[in-house]
Amino acid sequence: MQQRWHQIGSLIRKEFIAIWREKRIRIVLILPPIIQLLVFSYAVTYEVRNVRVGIYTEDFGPVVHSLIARLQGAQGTIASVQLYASYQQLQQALLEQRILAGIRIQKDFSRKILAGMPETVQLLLDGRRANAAMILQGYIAKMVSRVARQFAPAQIRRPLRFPSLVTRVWFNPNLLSTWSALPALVVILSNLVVLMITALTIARERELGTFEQLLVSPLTSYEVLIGKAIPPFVLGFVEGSLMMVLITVLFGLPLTFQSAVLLLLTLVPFLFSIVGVGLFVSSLASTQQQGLLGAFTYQVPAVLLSGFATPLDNIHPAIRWIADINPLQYAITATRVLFLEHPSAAFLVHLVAPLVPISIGTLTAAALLFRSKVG
Amino acid sequence: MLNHKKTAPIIQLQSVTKAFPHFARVALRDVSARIHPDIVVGVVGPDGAGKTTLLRLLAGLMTPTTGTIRIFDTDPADPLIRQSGWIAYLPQHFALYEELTVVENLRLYADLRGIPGKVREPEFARLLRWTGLERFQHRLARNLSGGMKQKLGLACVLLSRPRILLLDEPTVGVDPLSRRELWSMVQTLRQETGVTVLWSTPYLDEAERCDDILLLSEGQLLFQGHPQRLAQRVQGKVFQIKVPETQKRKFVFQTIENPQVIDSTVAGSFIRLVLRDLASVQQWQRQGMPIIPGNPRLEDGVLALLYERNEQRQQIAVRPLEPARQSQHRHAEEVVVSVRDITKRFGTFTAVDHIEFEVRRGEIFGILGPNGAGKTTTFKMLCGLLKPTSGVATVAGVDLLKAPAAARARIGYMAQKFSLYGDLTIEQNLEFFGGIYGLPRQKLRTKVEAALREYQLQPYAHTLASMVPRGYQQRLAMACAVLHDPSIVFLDEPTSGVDPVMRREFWLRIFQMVESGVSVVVTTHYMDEAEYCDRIALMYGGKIIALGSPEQIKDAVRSDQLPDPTLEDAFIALVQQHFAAMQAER
Repeated sequence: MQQRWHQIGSLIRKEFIAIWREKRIRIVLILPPIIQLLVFSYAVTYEVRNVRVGIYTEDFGPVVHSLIARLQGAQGTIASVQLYASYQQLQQALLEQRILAGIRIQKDFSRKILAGMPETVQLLLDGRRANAAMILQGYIAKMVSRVARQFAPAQIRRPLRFPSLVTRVWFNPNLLSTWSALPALVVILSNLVVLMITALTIARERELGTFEQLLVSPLTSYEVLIGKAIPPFVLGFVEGSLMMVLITVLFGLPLTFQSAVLLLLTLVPFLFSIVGVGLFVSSLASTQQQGLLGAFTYQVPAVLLSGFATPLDNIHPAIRWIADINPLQYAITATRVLFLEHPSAAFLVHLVAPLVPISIGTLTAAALLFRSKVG
Repeated sequence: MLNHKKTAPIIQLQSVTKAFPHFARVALRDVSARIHPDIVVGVVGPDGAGKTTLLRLLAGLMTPTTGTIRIFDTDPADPLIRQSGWIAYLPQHFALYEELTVVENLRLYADLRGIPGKVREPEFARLLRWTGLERFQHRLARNLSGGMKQKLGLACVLLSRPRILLLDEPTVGVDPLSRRELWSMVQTLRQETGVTVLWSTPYLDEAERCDDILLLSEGQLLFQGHPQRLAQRVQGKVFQIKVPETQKRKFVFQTIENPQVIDSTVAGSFIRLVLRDLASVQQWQRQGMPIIPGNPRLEDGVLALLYERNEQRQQIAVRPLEPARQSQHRHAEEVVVSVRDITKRFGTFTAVDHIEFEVRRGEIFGILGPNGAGKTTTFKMLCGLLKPTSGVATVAGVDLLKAPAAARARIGYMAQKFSLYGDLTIEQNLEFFGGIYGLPRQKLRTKVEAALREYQLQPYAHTLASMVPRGYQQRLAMACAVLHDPSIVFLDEPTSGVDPVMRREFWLRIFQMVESGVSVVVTTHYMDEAEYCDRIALMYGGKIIALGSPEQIKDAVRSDQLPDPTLEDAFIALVQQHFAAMQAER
């Protein structure tokens, strides 16, 4: 047994040397973390910031003045409020994306509000930017109703017919989108690293012609697979841990020591699942190019169906099962939970448990495919 | 053609150097040469000597780093020259469209060359007749044999009626019959059209028939001139000695270690010797050995030149025989490899067609044949890399496909292409292969050191394998294949593309191995190397068309027209017989 591990050890050592010498892989290890860190922390944000709003109003009463003042005061969200002289101009501005939303106020607006009569405001939104438009709609609606209430006659104002909402955000009190995006980076990056390295590993040896030299050696195909699986696993683990420390330090996420340990434990079954996927791809590919293509074919839908950017509840039930077997989904959920709350061990186990059968599944599939391709 | 025109060189190279970024070695170093029109020039040298770089420079596909090239007094990279079609280049792997038929390929190249419709049909007919491809004109290019593909490639580049024809290794991996045909086709072409041909080749027997050769080694031009001039360097120093069949290998061993001997090879029933001085001749004569003078060949001259440059020939350390092995040595007629009626089909294509042979302990068994004959497929089935469609192949009594992996520790395998880890150093490669074969740490260390010494790899021990010269890579490949002392060694074209010095060295190592009781199965497409084997199987089109000792095979075709056939003659005769037999069957 010791003898066998000595043999596998030789293969693992060789893999590490080869990975380190390969310039492309060094780039995969170093560049994506830096780029993604920058992109996710500064560029990718769901918050609506610095949008422009247009107004066409036929009424110049005090209510409208107050509304405009409020809109202009919403710094950060609304960069500028532009008045247009005609409805056509307002429409044109929306068409040309100069504004995200256009507000049209009819004649008599102020008078009717002051008289306590019901009145409407028209809001035009740019549906091409659906997400931001929806959020902006919420802001504007809130402002309009506040202004209206402020100017409404006292007898109407007093008996509040609507219960008012008092919001309290848990886990992320300021609703910083970086707080929900960054934890996911830990797993997305180690996913990328592991997938790339494993997807190339066998294909590369095939391309270079060294693979046959391995196959005629006394290593069994399982031993070859173990030797091929461990180095990417180790590298993915190191990369993930580094990212975890880096984002905690740089962005001040509330990660406790206990959660950090649990997070590293979560990485184990997760990375093994990805190693399995990578080896599967690599067994199929006969060139490195095919391997790379295979890796991307997997990576893109895996990220899209992981709940990283869009809620999983929106997925059509027919393809919901893909998300259910997507290891990235469980890993992302687990990292978010670990970074932002202090879950009970039982809850975490419940979250992470599916990764165990998934990793066994992908590794077995890779082993079976590898054997059939070799035999 | 006027006489003075003939003497004016058509191609001039003035201290041409070509270096590629990221490569430590320079591809061509300070090459100056003049090439006269209307001749066939052999561009000779092993892989990595710079042959392809030279031809590509002449074709104007790249420009020299320093120095100048003039063709027709113009820079070959000049767009005018390139459009004229005067210079035609046939790369090693010519881009034939495998999914198109022969005639469709011709039509495509005619389109690319802008040859007008009217001229086409007669031109196609002429080229098809000349290449002998008329009968196959509607066959898909991928279904052509290696030789036919080369002929079609040649036809395609000739469409532009070039005045200079650059052929990059047109005969490598092509069967001997097609090789001869290609050669005579090019000769006729030259006579009829006065085209100047640059023909690159690793085969020195082919180069010997050229009018002029450029001998390249590691980017340097070692010699330019008529091949005869190089051969004459060893004039009067070539001898043939008749040695009993069983003593041949031993005699080669003894003589090659003699510093007075430049070369010693098996040539049929003789040993052919190239000597530095003649003192030993008298000694052999005194011993009563029949010795007769031989004709110097180009290869002898090249070897003498290479040895002169390297001052002293590298001595090959003789591996001490292990006692256990010695006692087994040539013990019995023990069968170590047995192939019983195996066939391998890939889809509808039959790569190996019902073949049978046996290899005995301590034997060198050669599998010979052109590319596509099924040699490598047979090899892979023996090593358990491919599953035969039918039949059984056993090695050391077990079927490697089914046997436990540990059984593979008894075999050593050296794949056809250089297949080691280029991003590991030489030493790391050895350590890796020792490691996966389960050599214990201590033993591994001593083995690696011994291998570095024995294969003279020390100067490169810490250099990446991808950066060392080709010959060293081959040495490393062999060292890795036998590091774990296998009892059966499979070598797939170990000498392909290496220089003659290195080829000698390889065969000496193979001899050493079998002397210590190892059995060796080797494939090669050098017919002369087959003489070193105890027994050979000639493969053609997936079948074994002859099996036996080299003598037996030559005897089979010996006739009044062919009183002393070489193995190449024998091969050609046997292929022709094989065709005749197939035709008769139909």
